[in-house]
Amino acid sequence: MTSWGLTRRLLLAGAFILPLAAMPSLAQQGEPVLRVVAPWEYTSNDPADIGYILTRLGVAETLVQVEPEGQLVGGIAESWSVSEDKLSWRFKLRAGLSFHDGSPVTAQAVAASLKQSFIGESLSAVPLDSVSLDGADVVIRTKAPFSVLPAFLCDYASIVLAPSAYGADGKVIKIVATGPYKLAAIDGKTTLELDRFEGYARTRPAIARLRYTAVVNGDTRANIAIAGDADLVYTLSPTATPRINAAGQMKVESLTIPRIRALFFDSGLPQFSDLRVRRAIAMAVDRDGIAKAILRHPDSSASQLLPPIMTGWHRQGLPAIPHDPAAARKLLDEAGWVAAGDGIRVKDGVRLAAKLLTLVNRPELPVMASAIQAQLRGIGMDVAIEVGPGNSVPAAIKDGTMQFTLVSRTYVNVPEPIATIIPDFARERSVWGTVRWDGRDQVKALTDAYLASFDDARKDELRGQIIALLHDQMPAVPVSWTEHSVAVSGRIKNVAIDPYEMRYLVERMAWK
Amino acid sequence: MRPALALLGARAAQAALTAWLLATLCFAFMHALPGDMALRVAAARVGDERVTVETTERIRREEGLDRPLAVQYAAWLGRVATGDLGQSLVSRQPVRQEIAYHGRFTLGLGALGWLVSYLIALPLGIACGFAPGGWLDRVTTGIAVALASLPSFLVGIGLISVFALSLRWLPPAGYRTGAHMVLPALTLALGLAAFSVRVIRNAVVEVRGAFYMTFARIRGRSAASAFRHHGVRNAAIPVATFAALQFAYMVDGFVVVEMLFNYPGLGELLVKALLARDVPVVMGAGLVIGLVYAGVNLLADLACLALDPRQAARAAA
Repeated sequence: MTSWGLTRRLLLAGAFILPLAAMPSLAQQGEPVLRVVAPWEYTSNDPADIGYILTRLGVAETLVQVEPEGQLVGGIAESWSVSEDKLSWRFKLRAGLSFHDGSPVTAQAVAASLKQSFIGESLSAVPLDSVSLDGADVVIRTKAPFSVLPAFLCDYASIVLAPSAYGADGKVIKIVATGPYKLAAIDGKTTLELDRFEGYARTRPAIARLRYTAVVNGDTRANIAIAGDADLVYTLSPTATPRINAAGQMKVESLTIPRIRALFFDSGLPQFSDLRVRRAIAMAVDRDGIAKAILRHPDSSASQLLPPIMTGWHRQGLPAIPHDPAAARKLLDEAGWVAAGDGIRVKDGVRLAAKLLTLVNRPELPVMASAIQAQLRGIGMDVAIEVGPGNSVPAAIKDGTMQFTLVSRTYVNVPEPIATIIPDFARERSVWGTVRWDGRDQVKALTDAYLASFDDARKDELRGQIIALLHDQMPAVPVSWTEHSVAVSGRIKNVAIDPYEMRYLVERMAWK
Repeated sequence: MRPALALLGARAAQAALTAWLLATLCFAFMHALPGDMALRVAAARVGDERVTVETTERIRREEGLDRPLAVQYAAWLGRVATGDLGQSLVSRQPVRQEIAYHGRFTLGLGALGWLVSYLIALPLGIACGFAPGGWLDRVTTGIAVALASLPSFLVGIGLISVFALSLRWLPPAGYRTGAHMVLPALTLALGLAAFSVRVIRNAVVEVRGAFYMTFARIRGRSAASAFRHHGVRNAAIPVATFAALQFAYMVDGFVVVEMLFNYPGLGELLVKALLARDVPVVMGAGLVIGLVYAGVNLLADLACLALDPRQAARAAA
């Protein structure tokens, strides 16, 4: 009673303030909304920045697409062929397609959109000569034979947008694309509202409405899955899976994808220049133990760069790397690294010690780094761990401070691992991969031959040689492949996981 | 009215100075951080794993990050003088638009959190002040000390564990509905109330012991009536000053609470801009936070002037 006057004033103040607090809440009526949660924010309209969000959600499409099983199929193109001289690619477009603004998908529009995509760096590996029209077909000419062009055209930077999507300066001002879903609203960087595109000619998706929410923090995504506050939650840490399944609101489904967790070295350092040291490290790492105890997925233990799902690139015949600390110690003895008083080996005044840089954005990595630190200590190597944000590896390589790294790296930015193998292993200083590795010229010769070859048998042979070289020379020590995990609610069916991380395939899903 | 005008003038100058200083410090610190700025911006744009040397160099050229620092700073200052905060290096949207969008959310959350904190602290503080040393006072003090010593992310995680993950009454993250607002607002409010409940209690105890209260009772007023007529206004002065001081705590609280609940406010914008080295956004946010802080302090001073005519008289003399 005593504070009646104050309470009344507070109520008045509350009446004034509360409308401020009422956040925009769109009352969703009618069709149920599929709630998708993933880590990636919609930061701009530039396809080179956020094109992957648009392809994953089925908003935008590329000329060529890849099926989860790995075969390339037509996207906007119905079919394609290459000329006798292997320099000219002709893409026949699907008939009757239209953009989200209702305008028809013409060869002119596709060619204009592709020309814009080729200006950026994403497709700079393509030796492009020209993009032109020939009747209703789009013709892409390269300066040199480039057998993997269709795979490169799956790159999200090459999504096809309508003429109305571009401003006067050629920059994308709004997204007008061709996919089964169209953008209905963008709220800040975190929320996209999507509606089924009724003019989509290829199929009619069963799910009519979609809401994409970007949640950067992995623990928060796990919490959302535990609380069941979404229908699909992408990219979950292995440690969260048991908690999500135990909560019973969502079920985690996973698939081994062509993304590897591996140690990459600066082979120019005296510690790592000797192949025997890199091999000793490979044998000292207990990849089965890590796969079982940390990743909780015994099958993810990796002895080569790419997992069995990549049939052409996974080489059955390659021997597994044994976990054999005794052999590792012997190899180091042979290489002249002798244990000093503190148990750490020394050679020519150089201690067998290095800084292992790993990343915070994949929560299992620092834990794996600690395990590897202890395992390498066992063979007389001293490892200091540094955990940095996602961009710290390219930064360290650029600054020249990278010694060795433990990173998670995808080899299917386009559905052809060669596109990532070249920048990671064939350059003196990569952005994410090896530094000063002396086998880079050998890799380059093999990859050049691969790009130029149109013979399937020859390409398979070259794939075998590339993977064998990496396995033999150990510029990177594979530790484990990655499980791509998705938490799925009980409301939906027909959920498929795309190992290429290119599409969520919502258009193939349905309500139960 | 004259003291209020003088106060306004002095404070406006102070505010401009504080905001400029804060933004300049942001600029200096951002550039003092180790690492290549263009590379960080490139990583924020195209994703860490797609960064290339070519993208980095193009961004360095296009955004003028290769210019001398003094030139970059002068260019920023020149733009700000005309009211233009520039463009985000990552989203390429005007900084003003980014701050307006995210600021709206922070304002909503802050107002709600502040309101809830006083809904908790006022009745509790006054009740404790009426019976200092009683059981309610002791229990409240215990809880307040515990809450004040816990970092807000722990309080938030505790609330999420109980209300979102175990009981499933409320969503664990987001901003779309009123239900999404409850846990972040409560996290903020508990942190604020932990301090203000003690300040209110002490103000009430002090006022109740004052001579004018005894005199009011001698004149025959009841304890409640005496407090209502003579106590509230006097006790409100330290509370108003303190409420403004709490704004500094709020800025700190926003960063943690917004990150924890994936709430798209200014704190979240600031953290992401820092990681991406998005200098124009960080400087713009610094400028705005500095101005708002000065504004809130000014409001508190004006409130004290209105509450306490003696201050106005002193200022006039």
